Amino acid sequence: MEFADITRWLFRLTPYDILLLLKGGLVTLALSAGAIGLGSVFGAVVGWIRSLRIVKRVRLLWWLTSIYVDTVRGTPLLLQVYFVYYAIPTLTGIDTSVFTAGIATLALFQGGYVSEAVRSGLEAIDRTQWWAGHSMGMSYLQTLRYIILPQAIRIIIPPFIGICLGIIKDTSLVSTIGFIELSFRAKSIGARTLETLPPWLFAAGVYFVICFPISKWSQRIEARWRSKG
Amino acid sequence: MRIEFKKVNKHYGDLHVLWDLDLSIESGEKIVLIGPSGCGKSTLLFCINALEPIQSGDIIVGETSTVHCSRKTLRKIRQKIGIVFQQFNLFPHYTVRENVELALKVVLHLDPEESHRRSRKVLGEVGLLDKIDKYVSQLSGGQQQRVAIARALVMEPQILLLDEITSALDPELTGEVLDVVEKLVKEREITVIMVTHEIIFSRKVADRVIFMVDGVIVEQGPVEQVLLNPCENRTKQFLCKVTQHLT
Amino acid sequence: MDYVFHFQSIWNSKELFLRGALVTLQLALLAMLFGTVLGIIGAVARNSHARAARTVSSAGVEVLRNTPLLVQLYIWYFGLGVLGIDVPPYWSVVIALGVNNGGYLTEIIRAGIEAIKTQQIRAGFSLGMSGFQVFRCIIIMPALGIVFPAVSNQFVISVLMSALAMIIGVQDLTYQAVYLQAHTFRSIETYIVVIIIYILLSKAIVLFSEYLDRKLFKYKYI
Repeated sequence: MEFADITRWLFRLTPYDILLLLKGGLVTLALSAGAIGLGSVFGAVVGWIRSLRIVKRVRLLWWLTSIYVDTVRGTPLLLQVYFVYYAIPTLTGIDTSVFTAGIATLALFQGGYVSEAVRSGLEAIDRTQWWAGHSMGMSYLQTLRYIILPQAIRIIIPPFIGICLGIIKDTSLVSTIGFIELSFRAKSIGARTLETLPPWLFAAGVYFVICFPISKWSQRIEARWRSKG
Repeated sequence: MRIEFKKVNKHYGDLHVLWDLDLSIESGEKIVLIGPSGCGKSTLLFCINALEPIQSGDIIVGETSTVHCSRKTLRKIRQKIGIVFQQFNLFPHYTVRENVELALKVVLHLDPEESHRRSRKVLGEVGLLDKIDKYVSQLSGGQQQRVAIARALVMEPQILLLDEITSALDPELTGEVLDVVEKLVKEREITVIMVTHEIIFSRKVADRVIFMVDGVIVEQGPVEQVLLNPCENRTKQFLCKVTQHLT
Repeated sequence: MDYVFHFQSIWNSKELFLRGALVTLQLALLAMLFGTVLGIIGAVARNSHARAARTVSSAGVEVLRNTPLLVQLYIWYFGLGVLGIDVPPYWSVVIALGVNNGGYLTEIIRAGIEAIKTQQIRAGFSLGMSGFQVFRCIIIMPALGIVFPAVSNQFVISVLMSALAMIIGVQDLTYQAVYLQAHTFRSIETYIVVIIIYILLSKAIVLFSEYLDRKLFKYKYI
């Protein structure tokens, strides 16, 4: 009984295909990490800007950032992927690779959602906390760093983890422009072997193994934070 | 209707709340239940209409045991028992009228005119006819509790259970609720069991006062005995602590 | 940047956009109806006394929420074929999106039901109501009132997720965008128009659901 026979019996996939799928899974993780890293920083800055009282009064920055945030949150990610990959090059003349288009779209997508999470987290902190900081003589940045952010972080983190989980799953959409990650592998193996279902089932399993622990861990910290108050 | 507790034992998990409780309450008697907080007084009330299950013993209401009866019989008995909760528990998505008439429509299947007649009568008795079409959130705490009393009474129960109905209210609102209760209790022939901390009020309405500590009845008897001349030391201690802040 | 915008060709194809938008809305609506039914069943199962119902519904919810919709779509699309059931792509999307919605709506509805304080349920029983009557009169309306914003948010998500339909050939709004772009080579204009349509659609749904919320659940806003 060969190893290949076992895998063929269990998953209806050859070990080679399983390896391809697992490698695709690694690419998915790397892509997610990159998008989350870039997008969260960008999104946090945008969210912070949108929470400022000056911005709410002057409105120009608000409208500009709203164009970004509303587009990213109000249109399908698939459309955004096609837009960045097909339409942007014709506009700017820059020929983007699948890699840059994929990571850029996902990062911008992440940023839009993170910005709203950061904004509501900051706005949830009562204004009296700001007054407390200023009346002690602290500057805006000091108040933000020592008083506001530690409290806001607790509010922001649970939805943030949810957004990250979403990105890990949404990386599957860049397979449509040829990015070679987990879903792309599943599709191409199916096209080659004509057994289209098994690679997708295996891919589902890989996504589940990645996402389920993160989701459970997030629920646990949320519960613990809520009881600690 | 007569209520009888026979060797009732109740646990909440590891916590033993009622210990071999024996108690008889005659039809039409007005009972006040006093004692330190968390010792099972409210639980005793909730066991009467089986909102809380008991682990051993029996509770007999009228002719029927609420412990060993079928669900249908239990529902019929509950129609005869009215209960007013500490937290009012009104239904926020209904107006005052709808709160009071809900059980008339759904449980007693009365027709609309009869329901309207009864709800208007009972809301008049608690003094809230003018709020009849308002939503619960538009009323003060005292008003909400009076609606809760009306909701219990509109079913024309033979037993009325009152669980610390003023404990969740601001002090200046307890008066209006207690006045309503005093009036209704004196006018009706129903059995009333009231768990309360209002000692002064108890003197006015009670036929019998029961003092409980940790799930056991320490002393019971008429007002003159338990409140004014207690036999047990424990009773004396409790009453001292409760009344000292009034002087 | 020396790109000249030509919107004329887009205007000539406006009915394609309209048709695409209609398909998108249909898909989202059907998926939401399907998902809501599944969600109510799932929410009841999650809290039921039978251990089998609880484990099956929890497992289902976890699988649906921890795998991408794209993968679920392909699994339904190919899986139904393997089982011998011939389903056109349109309905594969409805089923996939509907079941996926069911997973999320189960959690949403369950949270709504659990938010109804046990004390109020107690008040219902103490008046002599049966379990079914308590559910109908005391639990349903307030629970719906609590979950309504989350449910309408899920509807907006469904509209956006329906774009995956174009991958298996269903002619929704995103399909029309790609089709037009390939035919007219006016990619920027096409995409801008479609982006605006999607944004208007999502905003309209949010505004309408806020209006509905205020009408149906006025007791929340007094």
